[in-house]
Amino acid sequence: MSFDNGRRSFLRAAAGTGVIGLAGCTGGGGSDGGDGDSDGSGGSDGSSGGGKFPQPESGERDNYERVDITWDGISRGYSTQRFSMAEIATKMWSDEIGLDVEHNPLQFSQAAGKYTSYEYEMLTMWWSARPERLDPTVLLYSIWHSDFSDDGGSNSSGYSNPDYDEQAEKVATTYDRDARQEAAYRCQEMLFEDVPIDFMWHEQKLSAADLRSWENWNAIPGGMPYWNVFSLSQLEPVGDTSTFILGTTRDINTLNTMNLNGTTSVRGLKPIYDPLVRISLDGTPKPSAAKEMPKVVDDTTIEATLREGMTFHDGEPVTSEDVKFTYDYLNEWDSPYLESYYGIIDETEVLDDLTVRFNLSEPQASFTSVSLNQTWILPKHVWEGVVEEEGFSHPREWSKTEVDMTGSGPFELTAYESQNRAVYEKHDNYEETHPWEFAMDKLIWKIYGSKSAAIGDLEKGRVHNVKALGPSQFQKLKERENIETAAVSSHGFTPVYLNHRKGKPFDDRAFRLALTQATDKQEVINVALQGLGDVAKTSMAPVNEFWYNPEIGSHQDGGEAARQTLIDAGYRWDENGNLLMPKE
Amino acid sequence: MRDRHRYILIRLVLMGISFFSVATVLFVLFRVMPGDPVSLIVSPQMSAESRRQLLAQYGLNKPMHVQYVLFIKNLFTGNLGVSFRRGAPVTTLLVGATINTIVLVMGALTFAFSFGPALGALFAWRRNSLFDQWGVFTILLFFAAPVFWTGMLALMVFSFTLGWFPAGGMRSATFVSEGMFDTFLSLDFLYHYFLPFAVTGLYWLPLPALYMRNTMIDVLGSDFIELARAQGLPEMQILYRHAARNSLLPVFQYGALAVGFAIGGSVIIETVFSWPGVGRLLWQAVSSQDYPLAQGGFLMIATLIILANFFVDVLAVYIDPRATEERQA
Repeated sequence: MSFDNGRRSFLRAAAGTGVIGLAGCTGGGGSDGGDGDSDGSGGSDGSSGGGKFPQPESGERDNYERVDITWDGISRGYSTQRFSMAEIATKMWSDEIGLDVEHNPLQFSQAAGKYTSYEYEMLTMWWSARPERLDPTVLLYSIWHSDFSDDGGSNSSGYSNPDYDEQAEKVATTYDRDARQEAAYRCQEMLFEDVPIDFMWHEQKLSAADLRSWENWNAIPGGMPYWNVFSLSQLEPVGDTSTFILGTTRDINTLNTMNLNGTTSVRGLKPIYDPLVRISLDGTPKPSAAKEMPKVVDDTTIEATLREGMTFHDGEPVTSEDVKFTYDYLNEWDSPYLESYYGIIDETEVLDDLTVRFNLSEPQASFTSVSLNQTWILPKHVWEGVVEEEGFSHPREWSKTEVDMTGSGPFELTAYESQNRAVYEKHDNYEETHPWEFAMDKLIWKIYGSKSAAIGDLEKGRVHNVKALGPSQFQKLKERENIETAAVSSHGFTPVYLNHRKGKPFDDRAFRLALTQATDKQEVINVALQGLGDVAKTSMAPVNEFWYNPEIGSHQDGGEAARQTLIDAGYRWDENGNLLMPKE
Repeated sequence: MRDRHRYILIRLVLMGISFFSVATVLFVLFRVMPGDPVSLIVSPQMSAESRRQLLAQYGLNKPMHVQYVLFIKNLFTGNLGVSFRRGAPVTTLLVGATINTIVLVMGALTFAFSFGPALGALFAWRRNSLFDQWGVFTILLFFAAPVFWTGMLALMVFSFTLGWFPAGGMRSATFVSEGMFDTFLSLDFLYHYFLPFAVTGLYWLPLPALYMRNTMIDVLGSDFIELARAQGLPEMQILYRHAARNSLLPVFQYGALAVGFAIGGSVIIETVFSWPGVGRLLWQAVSSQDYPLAQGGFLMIATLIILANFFVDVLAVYIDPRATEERQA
């Protein structure tokens, strides 16, 4: 914790004058405790409880200590919206509950380091809306279960509730969809009740598309709305357009599927390879390389049958041997980024030319919809023996300048220029064997140095889709003719992480609840996201209809309720209106 | 002659010391930065074992001094390691990106150091005329304007509003190259090249022009210029054959240094114009804590600057032997 009295007093004064520009907030957090009493002992009951910020009873001051917190936020350059979120929320807390929070914006890598090392009190970190996260496993199990709360595990807040763990395990392992939904509902109720962190928003994903080149834009949930077989196959060309160009600032860092290290690489490789299952526009899994959705034989046995006649880009047939090879290869060599998807497979058996059986070490409800979507079929004839032949210590050493990119996906990579573009050409066999047809011959992943340059080219019709727009960019493009903008509700969420490991006040439910009550989230969304988001109540977003529990209430009770929560839990304020917590 | 060799030898030793100092500082700098490259790969359910495995893969599980010894050892063999994020050898990545940067920067510098001195000579020749005053004012404007601002302005006017030029990149998204020659000499390339070239060129133009102008003003007052005039030589001949030649030395000394600085400082222009060069690559490497790529890139730029300094020093003693004594003193 750090404390800088002068700076904070100034900030509070500045906030009171509306520097941050919030409507409806009044100042006073800094000076009205006890109506200006300076000794904090003016109340007839021995406290100054009549004011907005009651002070400790006479002579009790020493039993309290001041609460001051450092919030490790995110830099304005990395996320303007989340930077603003922190600025606005700290002011609200200062005004409403006299809480001193120092905002310390960091680069993303630093913040991510704190997330996994648990070295923070309060932290900005978020879970983005990838299609596979429509399955509730990650957002209800992986980031809350106490098994993942040490050694860099993904339960960064350190939340621990045995009842929650029990329900979360059901979410992770129950194949019956209704029973799973029931467990997901219970999880959300507990998250709402326990308030492990301050859930802030589900932002809308903003993108823009060029109507002069393509029509019939249908988005998939998440941050990459049209870069998927479902959306691409529905696009209809305007005129003689035959190339689809995506404008992005992200480079595909690695082309080696055994060296994946982030979502951008995964997205860049998705058109090239074919997984057994793909996530469709409504978020449900649909068979891709599999003929039909893989069958759950029993809790730990899954069988999948391939479509007939599929070939890799080099003409070799895709068989169950390739599927077995893929998962054996991943297990043999390891690809840490994908480990949570293949690690659960004990053995893959070939039943016939087109059928495989997965024997899992334990039940995993998301296996068919997520694991078989996140891993794709590798050509055995390309990868087998490459380590020995080339003298590598690991297949990831097959660097991107040389790696053989043969896959069986709908498009074949024909050119990659670092920081410039990737070019994909249609693989005709895919259309012949799958239920999707594409009007484009080529896909191009065009890499820009800045979002504004990509938007400039979109306006000129030189690229056809730009994703991850900022709210201001979105509002500007909304007024343009020939441009279709899409604000897609997101199932990801942005919270304020609170680290329970740091002890009081973070492990105190009353304090966390008061924080949530004192945050006018709609106002934060209105200012930081220009209204383009939904208030988050738990980690599950309303847009994820099947799993979202509509009965969940709201903690948006306002500053008075927040103060009452704190008073009931024994918190008081000093003569300057700063929050005090009782000493242990 | 002996002095000269001794002087060059000393410069060589100093150059070696500079190189290793820079390498060491870079090594330490990236490792004391908070956060680590593995934390960027936040995959749910990633086990602690996988995390450790990634650290081992990056060689970050070894003690710092062991990492340093390996780093220096590899440097001697010209091995800059493998990029964490991209999985490719750093040298390969740097070579590809540096060629793109050099094409942009060297073109712009050639323009700046050809027209700049010529312009500066003219300013000096017509000192205090309206041409001089307005000319100096205009190039000072280019000098004072931040390059990201002129870059954005050029994009806004010539690309977004008038649509004359593309918003960035080195080639059209749909361009099909027929070979290396085609890659850099096609119309499509030139169409993309013009704006970043013009903005960078105009950014680098003022200094050689001003250097030249100031030196020329001194030279024009020299006796040999008077003599040339007395001989009745044509004005232009006096200007460019006699005066300008004798004023060029400081401009070229500065020019050698400018190459290093321009390549190192290319990140802004490359980001604004989406140019796939080394500056942008480094910026991405730093923000994703890709130590090997960032180290290798900065080391390459530092080496260029150190070499340019060395080159200038050596050139100076051959052109003007007094430099040996002065510099050693």
